[in-house]
Amino acid sequence: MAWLTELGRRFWMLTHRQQFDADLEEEVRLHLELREQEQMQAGLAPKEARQAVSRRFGNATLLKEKSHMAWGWEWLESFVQDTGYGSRAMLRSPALTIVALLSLALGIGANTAIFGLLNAVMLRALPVKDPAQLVLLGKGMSSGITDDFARTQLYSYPFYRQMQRENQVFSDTAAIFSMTNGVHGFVVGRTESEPMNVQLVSGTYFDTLGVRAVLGRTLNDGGDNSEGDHPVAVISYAWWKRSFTRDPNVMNRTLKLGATIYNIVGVAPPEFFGTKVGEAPDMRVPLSMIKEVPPNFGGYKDNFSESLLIMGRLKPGVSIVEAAANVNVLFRQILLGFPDAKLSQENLQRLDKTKVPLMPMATGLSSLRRQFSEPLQILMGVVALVLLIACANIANLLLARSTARARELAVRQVLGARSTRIIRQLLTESLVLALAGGALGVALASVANRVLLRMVSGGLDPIPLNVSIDSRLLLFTVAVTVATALIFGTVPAFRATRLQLTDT
Amino acid sequence: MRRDEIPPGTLYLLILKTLARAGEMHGYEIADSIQRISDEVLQVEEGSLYPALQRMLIKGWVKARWGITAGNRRARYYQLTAAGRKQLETELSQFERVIGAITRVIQTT
Repeated sequence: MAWLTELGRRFWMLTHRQQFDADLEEEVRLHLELREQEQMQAGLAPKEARQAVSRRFGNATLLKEKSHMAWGWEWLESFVQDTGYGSRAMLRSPALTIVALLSLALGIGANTAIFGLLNAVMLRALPVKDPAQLVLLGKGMSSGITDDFARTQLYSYPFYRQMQRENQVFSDTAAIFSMTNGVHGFVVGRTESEPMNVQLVSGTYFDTLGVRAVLGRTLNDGGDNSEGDHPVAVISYAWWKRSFTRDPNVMNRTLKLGATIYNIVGVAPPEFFGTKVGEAPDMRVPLSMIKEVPPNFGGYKDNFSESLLIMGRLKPGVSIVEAAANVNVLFRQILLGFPDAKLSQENLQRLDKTKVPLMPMATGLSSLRRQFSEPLQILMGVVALVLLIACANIANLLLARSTARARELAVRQVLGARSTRIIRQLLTESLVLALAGGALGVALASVANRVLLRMVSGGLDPIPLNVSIDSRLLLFTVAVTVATALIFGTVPAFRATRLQLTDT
Repeated sequence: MRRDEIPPGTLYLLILKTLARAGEMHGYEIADSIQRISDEVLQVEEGSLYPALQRMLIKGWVKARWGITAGNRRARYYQLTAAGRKQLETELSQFERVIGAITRVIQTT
């Protein structure tokens, strides 16, 4: 704990600089006066005494500086000093500064924008509870309905129910209809129909994800126990806002999808868009209504109408490998157990060869990811190159300026400034420039991202993708900015301190 | 009269010991006391005394308070802390070990 109190004392000094200086000043003055008295008592004239004392005392400024440095804040002070100096130097050559800032803002902005998309599409975790515990059966590559035997991408509703009951590895299991139903439905009471994206999910969907309603309730497991008799809907926050202008009495409203009237029972939280990055359904309805929601797919009781994605939340301490083992045993057991299974030679052979892969679902599913991950990575490389070119340009500009400043720097070195100190100062100046450029870049990126999103979306509505700035994106930008400063600042700084007093 | 520099590393020891004996002193008194007791042999450089006192404040070996001198001047008085007393013991035993070793080396014929 000693170091902690020491740190406390150091901080006290940092925040009481003026008092510290005054104290030291007074202490030194007293010391000098007492020495003077001593000399005068020894018989010296006042003037001689003063001279003798100051001769002996030496460099008072050096003493003060040493006392200061003892507290270990020199780096911070010189950093603050250099930052101020750097800002003034920037203002002194506005043309250079504007050119440098613009190229930095564009370079860093482009990098931040592309990384922002990359982040949103590939890296960002789902806004649900403990996303790392979620796994998906299969690879999540398909959507649709099939009746093939022993497919591992899509599953039937009876299969889901048996898997949910019999597995020993998931604390919760949920199913999602692999397609989103585009319905022209009515809000009861309004005359015009509205396009609504309806997602059919099992009653366990929200509980598995750990998502709670901000208003009303979510679905429950009983909600899809029996076919066709749970006409309820949990609407998304965005749709609540768009279609009901956040009406708190929305739970008294009903929706008409196809021929059935649905009660709105709850509103999902604002950050929750679902499990598929780039898609945000307007509402979720229990899977038991699969036949009622247009286009009326059906197949609720059909053992081989395979249309569902199944996800599970791993029990604490269960690894994905253990889970896969359990799931594969059950996969075989359940399929063979269906009375209407077509156990032909071919199908049995296929079952023998088939293994269900389990996929981590922390970052969600996404068709965008398949579609865009490669182009985004290529783009990322391109914008990195652009930034590198910008760095080279700025380095050239700074080199030119450091030639103009050669005199100033030479004088400082002759007066005793260490070259490391001057390099540090020049690098700090570069950092100030880069940080200013980086800040502009972030502002640029937040606009550019929305434009980019609109460009790739094609349709009227942009892809619902969360491209807002998060800590990962910010960390990326800061790292890029500092790296940029180092790249364009190092060479000019080292060149500037190479001192040549005479022409050769 | 020739004055000798204080051997490097012993300044803390001298200040600690001086304060331990006197209880409370300001900077000038510390320098003066060391000089007098050493029969004017050891001269404490002001240029090292005050930075050393600062470092000792950081370490928490001494604490300072402002008081009034006999000549009615404001002065910063330094005083040992418990940590300073412990440090004095450490420095003393270390010093004695080194001096003992040096003595043995130079007296071995």
